[in-house]
Amino acid sequence: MLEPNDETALVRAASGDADAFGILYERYVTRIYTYIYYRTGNSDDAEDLTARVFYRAMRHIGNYHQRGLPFSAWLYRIAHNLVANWHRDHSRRKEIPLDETLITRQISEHPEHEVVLNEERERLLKIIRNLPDDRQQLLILKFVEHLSNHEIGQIMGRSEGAVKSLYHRTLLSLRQEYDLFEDEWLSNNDGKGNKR
Amino acid sequence: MENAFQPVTPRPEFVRRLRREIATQYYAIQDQAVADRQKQALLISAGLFGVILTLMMGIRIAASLIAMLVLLLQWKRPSAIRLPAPVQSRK
Repeated sequence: MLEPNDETALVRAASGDADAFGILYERYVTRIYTYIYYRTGNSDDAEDLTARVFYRAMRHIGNYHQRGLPFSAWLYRIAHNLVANWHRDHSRRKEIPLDETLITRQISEHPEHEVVLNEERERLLKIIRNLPDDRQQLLILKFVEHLSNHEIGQIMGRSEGAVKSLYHRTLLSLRQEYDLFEDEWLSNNDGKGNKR
Repeated sequence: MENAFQPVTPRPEFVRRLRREIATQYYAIQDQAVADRQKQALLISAGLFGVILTLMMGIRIAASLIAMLVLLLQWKRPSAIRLPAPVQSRK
C-alpha cells in the first residue's frame, strides 16, 4: 500500500488517527535522533530528548496547521527548543562526553589511518560543540541532514540569504578555531615529548 | 566535515519501544490535549467576560458619579432666579 504524504498523514493524525502519526514517527525518528545526538553528544540523552520531541508533537499536533511550516521543520524546531533547554540545564557540565560509537564506527583495514581520522573527527566535533547554538544547528542540518539553505531557513526562522551568510561565517570561524586548536594540540604534544 | 558527521542510527529497541508507547498513549494524550485546549478556551472566555463586565460596571459607576457631581454643584450654586421685591404701598 502506498504510504500517505506528510500532509495527508498530518490531517489524519490531527483527527485522532494513531497509525497516521506512527507513519510520521517512522519517517522522522532517525533524522530527529541524529540531530539531537550531534547536539548533545551522547545516545542516552538523544533517546530521551527524541522521545520528548515526539510526545510534544503528539500533544500539539492539533495546533500544527496554524504555523505554516513543513512538518519536518516543525519537528526540528521542537527538537531545537528541547536541546536548548537541555543545554541550559546542563550548563555546569563543561565537557560533553563523546560516545565511543561515534569514534569507532568505521572499521577499516588500516588501523593507523583510522586512528588519525578518528582523532581529527573528535577534534572537529569538539570545536563544533564550542560554536554558538545557531551555528551548530546550521552545520548539523547541512552536513548530517543534507538540507538546502531554504529548508534550513524554514527551520531556523531566517531567510535563505541569512543562512548562506551565517554558513560562510561559520566555516571561517571553524577554520580559525581548528588551526588554533591544532597549534595548541601540537605544542602540548611537543611539550610532553620534550619532558620524556 | 562530512567525515566528522558520521551517520548515526538510534537503537532499534528504542525505536520499537517508542513506537509502541506512541501507539498505546496516542488517544490518551490526544484526549488530554483536547481537554487542556477546552480548559484554556474556557479560561480565556471567562477572562474576556470579566474584562467586559468590569468595563461596563466602570462606565456605569463613572456615569453615576458624574451625575451626582452635577447635582451637587447645582445644589451648592446660589440660585440665579431673583425673587421679586415686596411691593410697598404708597398709602
